[in-house]
Amino acid sequence: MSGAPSARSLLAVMGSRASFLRLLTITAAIVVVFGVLRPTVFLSTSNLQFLGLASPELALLSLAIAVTMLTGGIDLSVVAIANLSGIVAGTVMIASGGSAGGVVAGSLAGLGAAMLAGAVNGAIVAGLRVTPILATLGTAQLLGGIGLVLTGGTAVKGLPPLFTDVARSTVAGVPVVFLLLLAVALVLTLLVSRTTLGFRMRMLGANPVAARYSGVRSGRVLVSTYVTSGLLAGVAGLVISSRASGADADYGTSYILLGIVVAVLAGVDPEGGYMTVAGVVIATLALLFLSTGLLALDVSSHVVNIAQGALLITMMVVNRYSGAWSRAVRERALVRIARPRRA
Amino acid sequence: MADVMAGTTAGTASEPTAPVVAARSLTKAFGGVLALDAASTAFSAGEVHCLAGENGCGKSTLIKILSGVHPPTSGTIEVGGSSYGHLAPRQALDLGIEVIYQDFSLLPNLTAAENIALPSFLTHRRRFVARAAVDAIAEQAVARLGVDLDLRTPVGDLTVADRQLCAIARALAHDTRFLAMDEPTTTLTWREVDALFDAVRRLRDDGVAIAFISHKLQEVFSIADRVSIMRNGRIVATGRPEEYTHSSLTESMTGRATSALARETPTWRDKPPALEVRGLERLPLFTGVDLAVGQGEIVGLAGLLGSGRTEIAEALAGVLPATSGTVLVRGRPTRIRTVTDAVEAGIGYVPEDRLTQGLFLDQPIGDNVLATGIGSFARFSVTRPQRMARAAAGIVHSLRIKAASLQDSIRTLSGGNAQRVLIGKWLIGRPKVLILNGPTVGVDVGSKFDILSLLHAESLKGLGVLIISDDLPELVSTCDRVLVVRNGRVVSEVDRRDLTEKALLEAVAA
Ligand SMILES: Nc1ncnc2c1ncn2[C@@H]1O[C@H](COP(=O)(O)OP(=O)(O)O)[C@@H](O)[C@H]1O
Ligand SMILES: [Mg+2]
Repeated sequence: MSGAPSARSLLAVMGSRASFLRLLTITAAIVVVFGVLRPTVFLSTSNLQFLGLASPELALLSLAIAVTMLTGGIDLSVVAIANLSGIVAGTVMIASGGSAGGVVAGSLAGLGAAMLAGAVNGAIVAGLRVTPILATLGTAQLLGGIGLVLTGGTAVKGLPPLFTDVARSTVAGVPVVFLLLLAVALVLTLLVSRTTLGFRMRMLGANPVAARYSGVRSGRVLVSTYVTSGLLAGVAGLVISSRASGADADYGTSYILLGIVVAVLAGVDPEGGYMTVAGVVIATLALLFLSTGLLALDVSSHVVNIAQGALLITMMVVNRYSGAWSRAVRERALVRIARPRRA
Repeated sequence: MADVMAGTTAGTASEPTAPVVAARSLTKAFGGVLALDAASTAFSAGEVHCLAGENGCGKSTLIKILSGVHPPTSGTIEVGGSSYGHLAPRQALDLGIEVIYQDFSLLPNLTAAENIALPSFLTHRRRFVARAAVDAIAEQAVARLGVDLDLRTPVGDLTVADRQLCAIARALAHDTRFLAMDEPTTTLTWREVDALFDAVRRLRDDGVAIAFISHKLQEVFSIADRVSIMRNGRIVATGRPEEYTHSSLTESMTGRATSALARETPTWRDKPPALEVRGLERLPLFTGVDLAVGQGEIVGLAGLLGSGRTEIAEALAGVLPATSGTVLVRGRPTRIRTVTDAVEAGIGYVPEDRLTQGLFLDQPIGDNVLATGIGSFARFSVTRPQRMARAAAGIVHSLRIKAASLQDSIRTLSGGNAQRVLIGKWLIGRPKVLILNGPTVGVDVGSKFDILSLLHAESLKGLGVLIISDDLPELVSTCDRVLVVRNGRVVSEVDRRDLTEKALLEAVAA
């Protein structure tokens, strides 16, 4: 790699699609509007720190969903995997008495469980050829059940302070978990745009038949994809249990829907063939800006839900319409060519 | 309908009659693109007038101006002796000008009979339509056309060929004086093309002036009474087909000499064959298949649809592997169970259906070219963008793919360029054998010529090429020999010395 990256390659990494620029515009608009309406609350350090603490778990779960969308799939089990990861990690940490070694071992065990769960998803999707939406809905249920059995239905409590302090610490005012998110995002960006696996994931999502004729081993690629997704969800699980000082088998089920919202908002193509890591991180922030901004205006949390839903639908309509526009023009031309039906 | 044909003699156009429709110095600019450049031509009653030329030379634009879709930038349209600066679509229709586009503009939910008859009711401003009247009109039209068409079937359920016949019957039911058909045979099999041509000839003998657009030479020769060749928006030559040969027509269309395709057999006989297959079997698709392709040899694989030729190719490509048999690549035995096995053995396969099996339409051209060989542009699985870009640019350049940027999606390319991307995707990995299934289907003459010369050039470097094709002239002009497949077996071989279209047709149909 010599010389400065061209504007084109930079755009390629950032996601050159118009949807990415729209996302930036919307995010900026949200920040400006609430910044003007409630500068003291919205732009306060405590609000920004809250965002820095709250965004990583949602962003990680959204990324976990987005990588599967890149291959034309989806992972509905990310929250269940995150919870399982937290439960396994917490259980190991508590069992090992809260030592530094125990915290590391627990974290690795949690991530291992998450990757194993991802491998199961991959095996069902690739080996048994079950559609991803059904396969992961099934494993979500299964993993939730395993979590309940492991915990006996109660939350895992009393995690070692060494572990829970991570979520509380900051570097130069920035929460450590947010820095962790940025590091993961960087690695994932490289995985997606600079490895053969990322390349093949994109090709498989873009056209599975052509991928097969091109010699892409779709089974391997899919298993790797779902393991990656599981790992991301596992990291999210550790972040959650560190922040919440505990782990629970039915924590955060609303994150599934929110994660899909974020991915679509980011412009990730649910049909496969395109994803943007930077876009997902920004979309997470946009969504959280919107909710904290509205809460700063003292509206009820129902209004926040409505606004989030409205934002998603608006983005989808805009994305669809801009893609469909050229098609509509073509169709109109065809109608003109076709026989006039009326005098 | 009587008034329509008055004064014209049907059939043999021994003496040119006054044209039904004529273009007088028509020019059309789209922004900066000059799609038509002072084109003048005339279409006479009872004559099939072929417009031939490479993609983008302005054939469709000419027809669209004559039928009122586009107004010309300058020039006039003459219909039945009157001049028009431009026509409105409705006006063109009322003057008896009809165009059959590739999508036929039929209504899929109505039956064939309704599609055929309704327009004539509409022009007569009838609001209530009796079923019996509809059937009568449709039956009459179909009978005149001499075709067998199930009139009760919704058009959406008809085959493409039958839909086409339906569109022609509709033209017939509607007092059409000038019928333009824009590349009507693109999606038809050759049997269907025969049926279509019979219908077109009947229409001609009925006194209709016909403009037939095609870039397939074979078709031009078999249907045309007159042929006009277009290049870069101009009509560069007009004449009777007898005045041309395949190569003079191609040269006139492309402006390039064709002699480059004539070849000596360069097979490297002293080397092991690029591909040798013995006893390949996958029941019930094919069995006992023996074949060999020498290094530097181009071998054709001919056979009817369903003969098993595609299945044999896909078995060698690892898409649907054979259950038994021996495959040797340059003398080395290889087992092919997956596409990856085939890739690793050095066998490339350009599939039949470019759009769904071959290309990633919304992905960049550069990534499409690298889709198969990406592994060799990575170290420890980390891709090397500069090498990738250099390799992709090299292939795009050497295959003369016309693209503004490697980042553009495949959708921006024409059929010929997209096909070259697909071939480039394999060539980049330096295969030992390249199998191509219908390499020039839907590709214009110029590109077709370029693609075949490209295969020729690659074969000279030692590549073994196996071409599956329905296009017999293409097999004749390109191959060193042709193997004929029937019922899943290679049943005969036509050698270079005996390789003519006629011999091939007999061998395939035997
Ligand atoms: N609606 C249009 N807008 C802009 N350019 C067009 C349009 N239609 C055709 N062209 C251009 O005009 C030229 C001739 O096109 P066309 O008549 O479709 O060629 P052909 O039918 O011979 O393949 C091409 O360069 C094409 O890109
Ligand atoms: Mg055209």
